[in-house]
Amino acid sequence: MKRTIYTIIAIAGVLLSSCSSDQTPITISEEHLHKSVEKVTEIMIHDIFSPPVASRIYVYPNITAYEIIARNTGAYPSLYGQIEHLPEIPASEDPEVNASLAALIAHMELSKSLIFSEERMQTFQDSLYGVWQEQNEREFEASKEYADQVVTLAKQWLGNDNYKETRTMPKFTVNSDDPSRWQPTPPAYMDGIEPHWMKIRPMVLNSADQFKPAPPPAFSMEEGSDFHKELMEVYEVSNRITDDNSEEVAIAQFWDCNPYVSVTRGHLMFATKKITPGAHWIGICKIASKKSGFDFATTLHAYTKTSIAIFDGFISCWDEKYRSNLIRPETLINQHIDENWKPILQTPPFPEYTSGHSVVSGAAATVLTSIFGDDFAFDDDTELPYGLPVRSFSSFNSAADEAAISRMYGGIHYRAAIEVGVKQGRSLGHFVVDQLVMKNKQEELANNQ
Amino acid sequence: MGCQQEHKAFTYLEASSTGITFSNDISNTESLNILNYLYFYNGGGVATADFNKDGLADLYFTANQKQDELYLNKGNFQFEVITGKSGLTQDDSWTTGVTIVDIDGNGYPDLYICKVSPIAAEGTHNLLYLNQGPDQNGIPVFREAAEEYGLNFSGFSTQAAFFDQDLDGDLDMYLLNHSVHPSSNYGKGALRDIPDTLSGDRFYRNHDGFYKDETAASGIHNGKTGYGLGISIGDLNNDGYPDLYIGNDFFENDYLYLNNTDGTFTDIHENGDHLGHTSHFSMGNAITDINNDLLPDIISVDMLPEDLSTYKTSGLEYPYHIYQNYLRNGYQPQYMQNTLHLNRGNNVFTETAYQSGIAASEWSWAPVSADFNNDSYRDLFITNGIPGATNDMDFVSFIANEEIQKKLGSNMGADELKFIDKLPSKKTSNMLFQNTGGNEFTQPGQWNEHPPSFSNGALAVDLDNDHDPDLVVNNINAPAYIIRNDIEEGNAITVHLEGSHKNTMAIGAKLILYSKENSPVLQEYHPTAGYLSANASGIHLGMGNSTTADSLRVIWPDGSGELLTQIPADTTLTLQWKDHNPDQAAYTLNVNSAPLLKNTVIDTGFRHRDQPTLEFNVNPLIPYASTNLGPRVAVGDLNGDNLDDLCFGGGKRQPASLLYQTSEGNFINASPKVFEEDTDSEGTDQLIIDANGDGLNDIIMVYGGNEYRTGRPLQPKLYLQTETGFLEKKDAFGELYVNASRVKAADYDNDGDLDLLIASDLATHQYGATPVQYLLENNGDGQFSDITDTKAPDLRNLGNVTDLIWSDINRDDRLDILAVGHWMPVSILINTEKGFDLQKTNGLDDSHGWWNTLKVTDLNNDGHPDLVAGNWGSNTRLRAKKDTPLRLYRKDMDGNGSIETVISYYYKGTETPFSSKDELSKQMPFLNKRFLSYTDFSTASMEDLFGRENLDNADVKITNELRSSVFINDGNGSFTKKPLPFEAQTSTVNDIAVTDLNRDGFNDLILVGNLYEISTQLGRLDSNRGVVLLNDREGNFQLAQIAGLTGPMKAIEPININGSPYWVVSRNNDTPLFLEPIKTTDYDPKK
Repeated sequence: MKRTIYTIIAIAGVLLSSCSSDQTPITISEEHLHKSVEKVTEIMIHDIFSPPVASRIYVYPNITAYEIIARNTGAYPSLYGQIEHLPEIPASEDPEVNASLAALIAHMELSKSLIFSEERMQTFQDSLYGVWQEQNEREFEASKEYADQVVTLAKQWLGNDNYKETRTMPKFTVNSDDPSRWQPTPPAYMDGIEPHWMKIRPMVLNSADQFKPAPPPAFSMEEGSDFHKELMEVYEVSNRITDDNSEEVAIAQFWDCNPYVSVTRGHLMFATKKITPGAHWIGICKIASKKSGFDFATTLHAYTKTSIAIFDGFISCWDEKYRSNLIRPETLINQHIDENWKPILQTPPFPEYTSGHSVVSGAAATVLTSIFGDDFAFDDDTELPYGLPVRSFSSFNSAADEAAISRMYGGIHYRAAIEVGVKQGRSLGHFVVDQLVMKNKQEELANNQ
Repeated sequence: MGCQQEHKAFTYLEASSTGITFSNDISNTESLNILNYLYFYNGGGVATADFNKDGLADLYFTANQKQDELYLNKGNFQFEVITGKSGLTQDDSWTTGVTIVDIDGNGYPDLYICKVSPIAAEGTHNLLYLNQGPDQNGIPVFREAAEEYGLNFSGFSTQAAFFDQDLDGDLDMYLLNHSVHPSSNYGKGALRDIPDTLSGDRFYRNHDGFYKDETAASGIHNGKTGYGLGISIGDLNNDGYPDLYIGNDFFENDYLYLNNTDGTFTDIHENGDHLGHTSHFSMGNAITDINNDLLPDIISVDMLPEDLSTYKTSGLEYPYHIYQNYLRNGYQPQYMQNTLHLNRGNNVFTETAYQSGIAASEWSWAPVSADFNNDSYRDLFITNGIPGATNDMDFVSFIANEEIQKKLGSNMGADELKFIDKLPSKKTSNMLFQNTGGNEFTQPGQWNEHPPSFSNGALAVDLDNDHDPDLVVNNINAPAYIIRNDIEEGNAITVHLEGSHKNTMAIGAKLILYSKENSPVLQEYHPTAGYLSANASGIHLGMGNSTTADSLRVIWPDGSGELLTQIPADTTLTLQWKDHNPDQAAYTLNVNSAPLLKNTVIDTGFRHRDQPTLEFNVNPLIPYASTNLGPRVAVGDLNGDNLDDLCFGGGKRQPASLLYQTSEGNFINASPKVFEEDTDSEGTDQLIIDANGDGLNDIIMVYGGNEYRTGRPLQPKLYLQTETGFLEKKDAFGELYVNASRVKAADYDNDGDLDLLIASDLATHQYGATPVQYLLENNGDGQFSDITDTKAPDLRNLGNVTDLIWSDINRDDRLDILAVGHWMPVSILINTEKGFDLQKTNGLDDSHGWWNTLKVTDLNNDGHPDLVAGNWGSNTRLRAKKDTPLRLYRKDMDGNGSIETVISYYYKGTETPFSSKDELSKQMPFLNKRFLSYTDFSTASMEDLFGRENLDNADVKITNELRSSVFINDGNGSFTKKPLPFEAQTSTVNDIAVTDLNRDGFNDLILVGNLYEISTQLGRLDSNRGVVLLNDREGNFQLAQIAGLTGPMKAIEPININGSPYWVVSRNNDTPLFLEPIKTTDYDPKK
């Protein structure tokens, strides 16, 4: 698709040289949006954001861009009033404004304010802005000015979501003699991340504990207890699939989605970084949108709805994680069963229950199903840049089920966290779908296919 | 005597002139590099001995990927390579350490060479080269005989040391090996005792010339977690038997093996308090007497950058609570710093590297201890440099990923090498620290004109027999350095020893040189030294400007002694064991002067129990926690039997304790039930006084612990003694809630009852904010009312007050108030007709400290009360002076509604936050936006980081004096500061006993302290071991004794037990200790 952009540049160049006074309208395609989202993902990997924080970086730019389209084209209903705290985004009064262009600019500008490496985003923007400016300066400037106004509003909005305040809240307490309490895990022994994420203002949820799952099996190291059985299952499954080098190992690795894996080789310690689980589902949303031939607005709506489910999914999941504060299998297995055991995946730095992958995959798959239908087969190449193969799925739900169980194959979750987590995510996903009216004709068509 | 300005102190001699072209060249290959062998960049060593007995020290260099080389010293700094002719050709590579021993007793030094066999050619093992003496051309000829002697170990060897462990006359061997276990995954400390055949350390005992592996029986650790990189031998406890210090890299403890004298060792550091903390990433070490007190000290080098920006881009210690979790897995505290453990006798050590000026020397390898300027004090040369700095945080977080992402998991092959090339290289200058007279070092510019290098093994050896040590350094990818010592100051002698047949080099002999105007110089002779290196050259002993040494005492390895007198400077002596006068039989070095105090165990049945601090969870930017401050101890008679009873404050979740002394001098628990109602917060202080004037002593308690903001946990309590026991007087303090640090009673208004001062050092959860202080008036019945605003308004917001004193400082028969605290000066409030007025212009303006305690006493008997105050000390990164103070900024820097606490200090003239980038940016994510890369962060100024506006609008407090000090009262309302001596500054001082210990009519001091709840970036303050200081009658103090106390000591109080005087010392989370005076039976510590 790169070719499309180059073509535009080439045409713009020709026009400029042949008749510089005569400017042509700027066309924004869904491909621009995909590129912008990809760029944000790429920078997030570099800057290292934890999965919950990454979900926040996706959701605000998406909603903001969506609102511009909704307000100015009527292609989709506005979320104003549907998301309680969302401010009313004014429609542009300037007829020169190109709504898609303004939406895209707002998406990039707001994303830039949320990531760290602004210059990386700026370079990307500058390359586009230069073209648009030459192509149609008035249209571009008008759209940019409007986008900037909206971004200012959006920044005020997101500034009140308690993110800043949670930065200085206490860290998770690891000094405890409670044998069931989560402890930092090898090899980096990082602090428990985002212990106050349940205090972040959700988009659709009434409260962080709206989909509070049943508690995990009671902690017990007694043989035959439910908890102990689940612990042994992790250990045994991991050993079996490692020995057999079975498909499950590949599945675990495919869904690793860990933004910071600490690797030690020889004297060297370094981080390898991948996308977050949220980013993986954003990637699936892109694949599905492209496969369905969605245009700019439809694609934007799909991203927006998916990212809302992911964002609220993390809040719901983290609420439970720091309620049950459950210890990871790696810690217990090293303590009680096998000192040298290492999980196939590196244990992420937060409590075990419920599984973030399971909740988020359940939520995202439910929303995607509502947009694209249940038997939507796709080839998932999201992880190709990280050296992982393509996997094919017959539906979003089957992908979510695999993502969820992959965490047990990876040796980092007990079964309860997975099964309960997927359920938690699906309930949350249905709630998002039911609460938000975001349909247009095209989507209904897609659903009826 | 030369003229120092005229010429250079050290001259680097060119390879072209010396003939030494040896270079430890290493290059990455696909099969062998830093990714698959973690010690790929650890370099090689150097050994020196006179191999051909021509009177000149020869040199042997070890190489990792090349041939080791032997050079003959031809005199005048000319050398000839003779490796091949000597029969030393090896083709199996990867030598690490080398040591020297005459194992066959033929009088010629042999070589024992360590190999990393698993990465070398098949069949590689450690090598023993027997020196068979010189051939007709003067070339020493060697024969390999490791297997014959049982020393053909094959594994991950670092270095070996030969010494007579059991004093049976022959030499045994410790073999230091290193683990290749993934360094990041530490597991349980107990792993150190699960034997590992390739990487566990070994001990070999010599049985009539054959070495048997007696590791299991010897009591040493030999597990897979021993990353052994440093080994030194010395008789640390002066019992005649050699002890060992083993430095382990990464998470594993260093080991301090005391020789049990029965053929076994005990690692007294594993569970003990002898060393306190050690270096974390321990490389080479040295046992050497730094302060000429005849007790060998221990130096271990680490990788703490001396350069500020390197420091800020390096990986630092775990956050506090994660670190505590690591300790609970069976490890002792270790911090990234060089350590200097000064030996105080009786296995008591105080670690003083920061204070001594040698804590940071970049990525360091060899500490070489030698007297370069012949002033009798040993200086310190430290080699450093690393071709691939694997702790560079930009590499860890940002560079590595982009390079490696797509290749992870696959065999990278040639890509792997490209990736390694991205590792930042730290080519740094070696450092030479001059000993300024015992405990402290400086880095003179003239001594530090060293080129950047990757330097590893090194040693100091007199190559030209001019009685000063020159330097030899083995470098990676550069020719070895021969550095000629041109200082030409002071005098010295050189001694060669010839021992018995089984130990011809007299390994383990001790020499003590006495010369006028110098303290005695002790040298214990052990060749293994200086990281992978060995020095079997003549023993160099400096004697300053003396032209004749009064005497030289030799203690031969068998304990027999020899005394030589009147030795002229510049003499070279050769002493033979067989010739020494048998009349001078066994000789014991007497190192301990008569102690004044002894540490006595008295079981009171009380143990303070506290909880781990959570404060760094709440605010990781603070330097220390405001929890775990108790207990203090109150002494007084509570049951009317005229015996001293004890009252201790409780820890969090522990009630206070009352202990009655019995007539036999035992203590019985008499804690009243009512105490159990108050366990929520920490008891921070208590008083035994008669609060209601009924003639019975009552108890007042105050609480703190930085958890509660108000409510009963912070309400002071008065327990009145009644006929039925202690009853809480509920209305005693009304609605008074205070996070208190101290309570003091006095009848300041002469109305016949005791009034109170309650100090507070903290507004709960607001480190650095100013809390309120209280002056409370007693109505006579033990009912207290707050009269601060009317009587002492200056007291109210005085600062973060830790201690208060009632004292008539101006001798006007009115009790004044003296106060100390953190971020505030020593303050005096004069009791006037109208109330208490804060005294100005009294010479105390620049005494803003982190004071913990204050005493008032006339130190010089001039009739004017002087002050003694305990402070933070000088033994951390933090230094504070008038022009370069510590600053505390309190401001909501990121506008999120909560106040950030940023603390800065000056490092080499630059103001910089003491918190790490990770700590700061977690609290203030905007810092990541501005300075995502550690490199950018490392050079940013305070203003760059936080913005001028934030800094200007912050609440700022300063500290400009961290040293514990006395303040001499000049009699006209002004004070002169005199910092206490070196030994008083090694840690925090939390309390001081003022008492005349030597009965000279002048008060002396006992200082107790330590603080464990401090930021891991500052280490742990554990080097106060009970400091006893004697007064010279003018208020100057000198160390008399280190009493051997240990732990976080909070208070010291005199007490009479069974009619005898003692001091009781309270400790956080531990039992109290007791000190007893020796010598004078009529001694009363209350006087």
